Amino acid sequence: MTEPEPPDRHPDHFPEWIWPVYVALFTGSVPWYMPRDAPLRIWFGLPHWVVISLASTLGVAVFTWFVVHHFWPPLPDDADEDIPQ
Amino acid sequence: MTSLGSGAGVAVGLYLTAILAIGYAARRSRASESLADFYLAGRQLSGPVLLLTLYATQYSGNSLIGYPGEAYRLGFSWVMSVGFMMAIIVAYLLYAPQLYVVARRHHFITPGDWLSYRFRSPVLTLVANLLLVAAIANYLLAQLMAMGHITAGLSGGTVPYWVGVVLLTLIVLVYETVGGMRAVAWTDLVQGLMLIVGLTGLLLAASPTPTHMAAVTEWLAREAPEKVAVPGWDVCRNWFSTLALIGFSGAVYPQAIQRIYAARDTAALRRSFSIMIFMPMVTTGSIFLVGVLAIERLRDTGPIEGDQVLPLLLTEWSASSPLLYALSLLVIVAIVSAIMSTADSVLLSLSSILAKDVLGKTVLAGAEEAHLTRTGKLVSWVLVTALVGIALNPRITLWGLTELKMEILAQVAPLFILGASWSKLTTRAALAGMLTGTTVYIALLASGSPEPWNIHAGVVALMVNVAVCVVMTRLRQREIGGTDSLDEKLTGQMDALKRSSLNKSML
Repeated sequence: MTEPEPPDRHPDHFPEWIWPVYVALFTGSVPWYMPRDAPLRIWFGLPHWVVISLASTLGVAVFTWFVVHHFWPPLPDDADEDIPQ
Repeated sequence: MTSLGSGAGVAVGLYLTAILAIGYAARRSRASESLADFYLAGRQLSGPVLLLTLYATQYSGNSLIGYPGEAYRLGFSWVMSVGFMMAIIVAYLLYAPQLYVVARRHHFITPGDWLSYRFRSPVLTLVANLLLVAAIANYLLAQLMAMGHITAGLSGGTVPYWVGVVLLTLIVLVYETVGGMRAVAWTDLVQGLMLIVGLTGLLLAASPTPTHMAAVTEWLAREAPEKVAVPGWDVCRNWFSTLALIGFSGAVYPQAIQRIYAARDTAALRRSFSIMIFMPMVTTGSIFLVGVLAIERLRDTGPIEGDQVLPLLLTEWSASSPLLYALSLLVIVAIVSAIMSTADSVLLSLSSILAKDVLGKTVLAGAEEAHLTRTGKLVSWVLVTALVGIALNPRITLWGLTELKMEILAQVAPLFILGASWSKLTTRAALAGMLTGTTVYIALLASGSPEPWNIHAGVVALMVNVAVCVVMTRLRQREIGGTDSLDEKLTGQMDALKRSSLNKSML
């Protein structure tokens, strides 16, 4: 099998620093760091660890909104041209 | 319909009539018989339509029927469902911007077009297409089963399971065949709105105020403490595994990829992603709360299947008061919408892959687009007939089907995510990774280890898949004598050459 030439490359990805932030936020949404035998504390009607998990997940959403609006990779000029069908 | 009275039948009947009318209107708006017009609505999906079609497609019958059952079974740890639905949108960011540009420039119709373009290997494209078809046919099967469950469950068995499967499938087939992606997207618009309205109804009916929730949480802490306690490391491992599995697999649903192709422009794509990311909070978040509340609400019902939780709740609510009855009707229409909106998108995607990538490159090679479009419609009918036959004899729960589908899709995910973001990934490495990953997944399933160490077999296989991709690509780089820096240098020179030739052509 012959290797193809690399296709058109679009080098402008999202900045790399956003991915560790995502890893941190998702890691925070899983309560692996909380003691299993922690006493039940109820916040807003839910167990505290559920609220922390939801807060971290909300962080993912807000951060993504920020990333999409500020760092969406710039596109080549012809990317949005109308295409004849 | 006995459980919810004739009102449910009338509400669903009105909704189905409206959907068929929209399908017909979409047919009148078609521009041509081309594949792009039928399968991508002429690549003209605007921001709001794109958002609601992505939303309605992503939240399926399983989200509304399977997820409350999981929350009922697992308790509060099912809060993971909010995170894993969000992970799908984050995974899109890994490849969607790059894919959109290339797809636009090279007029892609199917996911296979990207694979052929990026890897230029008919073998790789064929194997990946087979995996995609296996995975989403499984998904379509889950929707057909959900159609039967919801009809039988909500009518208290008056309307049999098989009638629900056959009737709703027939309606999907009709409007999809007449209007293609345009009909699917337009009906998704209505279905997405119905889903939002129905979820509002669900929340109002369940009324999870902090006081009510606190009472339920305390009751659960006494009666079923394992459903409230901080999850142990075994559950957390499974949670991480589910985030990875659903995130990477959900982002490469063929029907989602085709919606990226169908976006009118990048602004539409950006706007829909930036709103979609919040939808799990309101959608799976609400469903999660309702499922947890059901543990206490259905405590006297006796042992029940997970898929029956929401139908039982709706039946109970509807008997409580006229207001709850009305809200239950909204939820029923939303459930039917969620099921149909996913089924139609999956079916359209399957039809495009089989017509264009399989038949169009073999027995129908060189055929006109109009002929391939007609063939795609015929393929839809044949395929659905076969799947209805299977759905009439179900042997697995909806969540079980979802996991199977996701684990197969995970093995294809690197072709899109790594393929778009890592230009050095070689075809050999990608093919070897996919084959090895799939083999590992099948071997783990066959050896009776679907979740070794509470990690999904599909995720273990995905890790092997990615490792093979990375190792083989690095070895190849060494073979050709390139180091990272040299490789970067060569890539940079190639980019400069391309820019230079582009400038010349512009001059």
